[in-house]
Amino acid sequence: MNNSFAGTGTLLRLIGRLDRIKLPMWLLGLGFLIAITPLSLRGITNAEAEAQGITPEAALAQQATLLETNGATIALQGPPNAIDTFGGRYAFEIGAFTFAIIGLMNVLLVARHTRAEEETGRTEMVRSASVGAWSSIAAVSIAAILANAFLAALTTAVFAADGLAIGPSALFGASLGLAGLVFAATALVFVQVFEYGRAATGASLAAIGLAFGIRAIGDVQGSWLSLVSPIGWAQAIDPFGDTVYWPLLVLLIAIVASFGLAIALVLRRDVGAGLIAQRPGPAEAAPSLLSPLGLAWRLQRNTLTWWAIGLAALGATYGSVISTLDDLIAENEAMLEALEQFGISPDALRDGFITFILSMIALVASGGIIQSILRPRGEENTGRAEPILSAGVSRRSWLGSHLLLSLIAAPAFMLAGGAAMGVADAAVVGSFTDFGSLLWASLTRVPALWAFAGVGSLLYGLAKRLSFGVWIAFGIVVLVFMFGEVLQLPDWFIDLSPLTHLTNTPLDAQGWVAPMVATLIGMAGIVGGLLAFSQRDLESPT
Amino acid sequence: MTDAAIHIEGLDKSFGATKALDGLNLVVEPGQVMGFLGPNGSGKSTTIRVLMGLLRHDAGHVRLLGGDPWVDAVALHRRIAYVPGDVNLWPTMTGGEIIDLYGRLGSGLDPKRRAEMIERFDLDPTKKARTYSKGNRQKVALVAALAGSADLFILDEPTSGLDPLMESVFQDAVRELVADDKTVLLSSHILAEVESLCDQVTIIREGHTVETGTLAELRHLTETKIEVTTTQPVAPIAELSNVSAFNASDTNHATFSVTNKALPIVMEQLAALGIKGIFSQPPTLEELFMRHYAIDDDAIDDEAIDDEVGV
Repeated sequence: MNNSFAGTGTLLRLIGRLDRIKLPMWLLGLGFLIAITPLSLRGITNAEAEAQGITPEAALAQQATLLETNGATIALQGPPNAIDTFGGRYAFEIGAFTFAIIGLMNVLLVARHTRAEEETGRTEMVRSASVGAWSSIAAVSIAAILANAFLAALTTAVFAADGLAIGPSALFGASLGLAGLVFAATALVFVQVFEYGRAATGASLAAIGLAFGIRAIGDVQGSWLSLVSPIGWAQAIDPFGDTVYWPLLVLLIAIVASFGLAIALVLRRDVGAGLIAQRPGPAEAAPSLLSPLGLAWRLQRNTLTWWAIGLAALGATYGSVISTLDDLIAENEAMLEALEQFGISPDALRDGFITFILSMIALVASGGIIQSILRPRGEENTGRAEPILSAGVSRRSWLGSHLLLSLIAAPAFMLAGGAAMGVADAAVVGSFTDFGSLLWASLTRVPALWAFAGVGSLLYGLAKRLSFGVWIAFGIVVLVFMFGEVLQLPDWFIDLSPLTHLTNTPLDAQGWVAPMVATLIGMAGIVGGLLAFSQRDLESPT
Repeated sequence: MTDAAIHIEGLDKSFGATKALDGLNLVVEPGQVMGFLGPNGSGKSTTIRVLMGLLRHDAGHVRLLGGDPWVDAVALHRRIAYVPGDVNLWPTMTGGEIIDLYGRLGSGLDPKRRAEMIERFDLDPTKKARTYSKGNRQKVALVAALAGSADLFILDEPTSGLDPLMESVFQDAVRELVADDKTVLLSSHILAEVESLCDQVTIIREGHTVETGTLAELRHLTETKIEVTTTQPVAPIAELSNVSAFNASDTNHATFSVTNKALPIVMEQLAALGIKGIFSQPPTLEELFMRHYAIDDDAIDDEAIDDEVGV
């Protein structure tokens, strides 16, 4: 038993060394997002209260009436529990989306230090050097526990510093940390099941998406569906309202069970292999593979297809609640009155929801496009680009083939999300009247995706190490889109994000300037990237 | 000069502050098998990557089959087969698919040769690349290269990870290339392989060429070990220049090394002392390389060696 965990300490220190930049960056970023919420919200609310000559609590209650009818916000952030209190409102603003980002941090952390390490053969060296079979899992679990505990403690401290009671603050902190650990433990299981780090990461990300999507439907409908999702459990605790404790237990059980499953599975497979077995393949290549474009498609088709499926699932999830939203508003006279008072028509509320969801799909799709754009980087990293570029394939046709796929993927992704959303809505309503406009609205966001493709390929073309910058750009765009208002970012900064200019339909009409500028950025970046790549050294495998 | 298959003169290449290649020279004539040797990190792979148009050189003259390896990369690659030392394959593709990819995109693939090579190297082309061992991955690249119709073969440690049986299959295949008048640049650490395949060798160290020539010529440059018994005391031999590792077990018996250049003088002196018995051992290839690979070997006088070989 002891031997199975031998060397865990050494591995933990190794993780600390390998992750000395990435994990602190994640924790700092998330900590910032969590800490800024009370800071800015209290300021905004106090100012609003003073302007109207009412107490801050009354101002909160006013905002709460509006928020409770806002399906888009609820779908993104969670049930509007106790949002007429400061604590409840903070928790609502931090929201389900932050839970998902914490999940992302955990999944990537686990993937980095398990299968990715195994695939490069490093694990074999570590394991043969008197390290137990479970030490790798134990070390990465301890790292995940420490990271999530840090977030929980930080959240508690931030809320307490704002003047909230320490008990509920700690409870909210714990809900964030425990939900994060559920995703870490899930990733540990998938890492054992799939043979490939990328497949395991994909499955874990899909799990986050599913957890997020299910609770979104549940929260908008006010149904039990939310209680199928770990994020739903965490948000059901409601620390600042009618607090319940059972979800804590459920979260803990989920963590322990997944961890136990991962430990059991690790004994059933060989290092480097998965539990899903191999079949022999073709002895000769199909003619369609034997061109730079054919090869690029072969390498990208699975990833692109899974992204499209994921986006379609996202679209269908939200599409199925559009009509529910109409009903919710129509049935609630108090809401109708409140809406009338603020001069908002129910149709505008519906369009606002669709606009927001389509933009979120565009944001997620941008992540897929960036992953596709950076595929050549992976090929260069692993040394697989070298033999191809030494076999009569020019730099331009090699990189160009990959970039062409990314460019085509952009409208395909948006159509997948938009069409699924339209079909789901039509299935509920029984009519396809909105289908065409939904498709068009999703296509208006395509140039934003191309802009990312341009930035990514230019950076990659200039130097491999620069290409990570496109993820930083993406992070900033996410920040602006999700938290731009809460953070009170300056207008010029918000204007930097292509999504700011390309996310108006169907609520407002889309002008022509923004799509053209974004498309131009995309194409110029791609041409620049191709030219630069043809002139630089191909880097040795890392 | 210009009709050499590979002609490199004064090649420089730096990565940031690190100078990987520093005035490297390498000439490979058509039909030649050139052994390309040097310790780890001496710049062999960097040189090959420059030749393959993957790296851009900073200074010097590089011609490959009469073309510029950077500008004419695509056209040249159709006449060159390249096997990297570290073959990385796409884990979800089969070996057969990858052979076709490398071959068809590059210097072509003869279906008959492909089948024959797969047979000779005992490779299962239906297996996914992720299940291949290092040796099997190497075989995939070798089959793709050898089944093509390239004029020039650039092989960067092509047999690392191959078992002895496959090593001999590889050597046979290279001999067939030679019979077909193909040109081969073979970077290798396996001295027996170099000895049995190469007409010429070039040894580099720290980014520049320290030695080039036929193996016979190179042998000539090194030292012969001599064990001798003389009628008169043997001690005076120790005083001669070019004699080293002198060790006298008694007054009339000694072992020592002598550079081949100084051999006639030493033999003359020994004859004067009256030889009762003599045993001489030529340098092994191992010693030849060790001499050049050793980083802190002040005894090596590169210029003197260059003078003699006529570089």
